[in-house]
Amino acid sequence: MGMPENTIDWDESVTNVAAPETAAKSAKPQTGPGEAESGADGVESVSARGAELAAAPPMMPVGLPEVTQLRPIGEATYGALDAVLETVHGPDNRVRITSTGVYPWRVHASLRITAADGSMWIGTGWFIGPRTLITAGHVVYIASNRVPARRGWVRRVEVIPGRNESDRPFGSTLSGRFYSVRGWTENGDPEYDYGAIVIDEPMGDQTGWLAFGAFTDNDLLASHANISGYPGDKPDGTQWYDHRQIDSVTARKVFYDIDTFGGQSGSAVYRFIDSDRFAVGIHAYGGAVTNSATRITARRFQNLEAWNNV
Amino acid sequence: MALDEAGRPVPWARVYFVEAPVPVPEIAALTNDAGEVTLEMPEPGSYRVGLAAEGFEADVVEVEIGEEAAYLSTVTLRQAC
Repeated sequence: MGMPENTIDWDESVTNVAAPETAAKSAKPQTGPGEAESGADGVESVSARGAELAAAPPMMPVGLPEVTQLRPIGEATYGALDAVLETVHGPDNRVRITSTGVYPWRVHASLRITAADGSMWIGTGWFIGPRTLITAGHVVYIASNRVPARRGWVRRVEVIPGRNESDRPFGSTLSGRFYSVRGWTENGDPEYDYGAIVIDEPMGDQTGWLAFGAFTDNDLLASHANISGYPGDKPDGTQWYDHRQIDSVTARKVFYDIDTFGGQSGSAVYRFIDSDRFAVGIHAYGGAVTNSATRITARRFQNLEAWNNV
Repeated sequence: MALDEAGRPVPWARVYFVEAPVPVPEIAALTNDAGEVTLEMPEPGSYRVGLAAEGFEADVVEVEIGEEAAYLSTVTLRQAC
């Protein structure tokens, strides 16, 4: 059977600015200047100095809370509900990272997003080069039609690398330059939910960056995945890390039972190859049993490389 | 809308999905100066939505969404001990 005519490349790159002129692995990651923490056996060696277990009482209350006042609009009603999908599965295994001024933690940036309608959001991004961060598509482009004024490219993103609550070891910068792909911006297809933020100041030269790659199914299924990001259920601006063996993969997604929460959209899902960290996906969704990332494929690898050279 | 126990709006509260009938984007919304936020539910069904803000105990709102996506709820956040 021949190829269908008019095949659409849903991974075709799109941007809100003038178009850029222009089983793989990027160049090795860069640690940047100064101290770097190491990993072992495919996971981060989170030191006692640099991390603390989530030993404090969880921010989420136990049991069903009371809801105070409800003003329904339309057909919405209130009622007792059965638990369906959670994004933290079982015990919360996340570890807080406080050594966010050192590599690798500093490659992860807290993002404060202003959407087209002025609404504010939080997410996570990570450096792949001096001026380019990768994140979820829905961080840079709102694809839903349910709030029409919100749809489209976001207005701006404040990028805060290595943030640790109020501490901003590398300062922050604003970006209005974003990239994603047609599969996300035109179709809102979760399998194409990835994008990039480009900043003017080469902060990546200070933070270092992760490498990235497209790997075979067998490689991924044999890998431990690591995620570090900025979840909204924890104190504002704190970075949290977890890791687990990759559970399953499809052609365009990677699934894992790694604890995450809203605010971690855009986090790198990365594996170790020897001592080097390679991103394999971009965390985007919370699900019933596993959470998921947009998988870096060979085609998407090309986009990330291009976005890193705009 | 997030309010404190005195009825004042709580700006910059983080609002996020805790439970949902379908996979949900893991982006969190922030309430505005009036303590308001609109969080889109991707599909009709049962949801639990969490709220967290510095100085307050986190809370969870249970919501059931029909075909009409719009839903307005006021949640009073309790001061943290």
